[in-house]
Amino acid sequence: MIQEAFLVILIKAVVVVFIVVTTFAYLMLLERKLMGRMQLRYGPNRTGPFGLLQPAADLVKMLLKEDFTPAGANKVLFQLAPVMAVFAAVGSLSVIPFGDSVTLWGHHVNLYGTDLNVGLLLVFALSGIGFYGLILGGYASGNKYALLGAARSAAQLVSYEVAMGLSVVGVLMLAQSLSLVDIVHAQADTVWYILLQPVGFILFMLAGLAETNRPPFDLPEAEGELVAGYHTEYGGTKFAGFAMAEYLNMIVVTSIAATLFLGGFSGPWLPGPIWLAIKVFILIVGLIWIRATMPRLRYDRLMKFGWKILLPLATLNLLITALVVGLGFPNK
Amino acid sequence: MTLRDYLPVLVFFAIGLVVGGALLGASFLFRRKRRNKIKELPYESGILATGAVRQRFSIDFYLTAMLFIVFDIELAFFYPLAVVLKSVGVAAVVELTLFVVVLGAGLAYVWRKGALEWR
Repeated sequence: MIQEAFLVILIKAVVVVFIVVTTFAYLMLLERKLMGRMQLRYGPNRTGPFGLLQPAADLVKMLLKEDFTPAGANKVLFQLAPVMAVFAAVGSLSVIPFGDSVTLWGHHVNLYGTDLNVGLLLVFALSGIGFYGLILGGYASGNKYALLGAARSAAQLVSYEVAMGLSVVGVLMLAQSLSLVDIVHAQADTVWYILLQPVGFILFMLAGLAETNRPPFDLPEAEGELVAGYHTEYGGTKFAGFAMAEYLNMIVVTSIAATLFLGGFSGPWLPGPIWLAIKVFILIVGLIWIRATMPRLRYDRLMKFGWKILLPLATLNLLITALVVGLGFPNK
Repeated sequence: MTLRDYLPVLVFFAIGLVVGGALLGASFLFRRKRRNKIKELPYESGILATGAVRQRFSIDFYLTAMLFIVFDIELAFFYPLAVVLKSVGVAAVVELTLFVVVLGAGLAYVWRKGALEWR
């Protein structure tokens, strides 16, 4: 019985990771295609119809790259850093609810890794561990650009982590739970929390952009000043590891945003995973659009924005939500 | 909610390590290796690297780190309070308001002292 349960968990985990990693490959293609069109270019279109085989071509290229460690690098940490980044990103997938329970071949299967009563906290904790990948990578490279990039990303990520954590407290008050599945059900019973927490949603997405090192907050890898930031010395599959971690984090952040504010997997007619995929797709296209539109911030303004605008706004949002929820309005 | 509910998290961790390890392993299998002294120099825009690599950081990074620890711990206090806020009611709102006032006073102090300025 226990072995069977373990088998179910293992199959679920493999399927989820497989789907998300495939999504990552095509997300890169989607981003390059969309960016190309927005800049009046075609984007990749040579490998296969519409460039659909581009991810495979990229993979072959990454694999055949020479894999060397720079002379000044800390050999062990240099290898470990991308693994750590990937590890944390994959770990966060375990609590994201892709759908409700279904019955498959006579088995009762939950369409999520697990439903923890600290689900959201686990995601934040793992995003904290993911930073170590970037910071170790920059530190271990033995390169000035990489070290500067690592220091910058450390400062940026911790600043926006606070704002991100505060922006979701309003949702927790409304749903009275940290479990992501409970939060989705609470929204299905009432309304999507984006209607009750519009400020929280905007703050979460802004902080999420910074947490995933997306433009306009991609200061850690600002190519005009730092070459490539923390992954300057990385190439081949180790670079692919960092790219994978970044895109997986993007998928995780948008899934969490969809779960907390847009009703997650709930929706009429279509099955849960499809609804979540639609919402995540819309959010990700939004992120790509922002990348194509916005110029990069200056570093001091970035820090100022995090501490002086996002943090006070999130605190105020939290206080007002507490007053409204705690003093009994809206009555449910 | 038992400890067994955390088993899937461990399984995902294991798969994460496998995926990350596979990336390293794959390049180990396919890579070409032609060592070269010049190639292994740290990249510094094409010129020879000068000076120490591990330099000292600006004090602002340390300040930010300390601020983060303070605010992140306060954040951790908010989560349980937020979950029970509705069921506890007015008492929880009063406590949370006091907590936010203290937090706000701390933020105002740090702000006045100029710790949020990036020099």
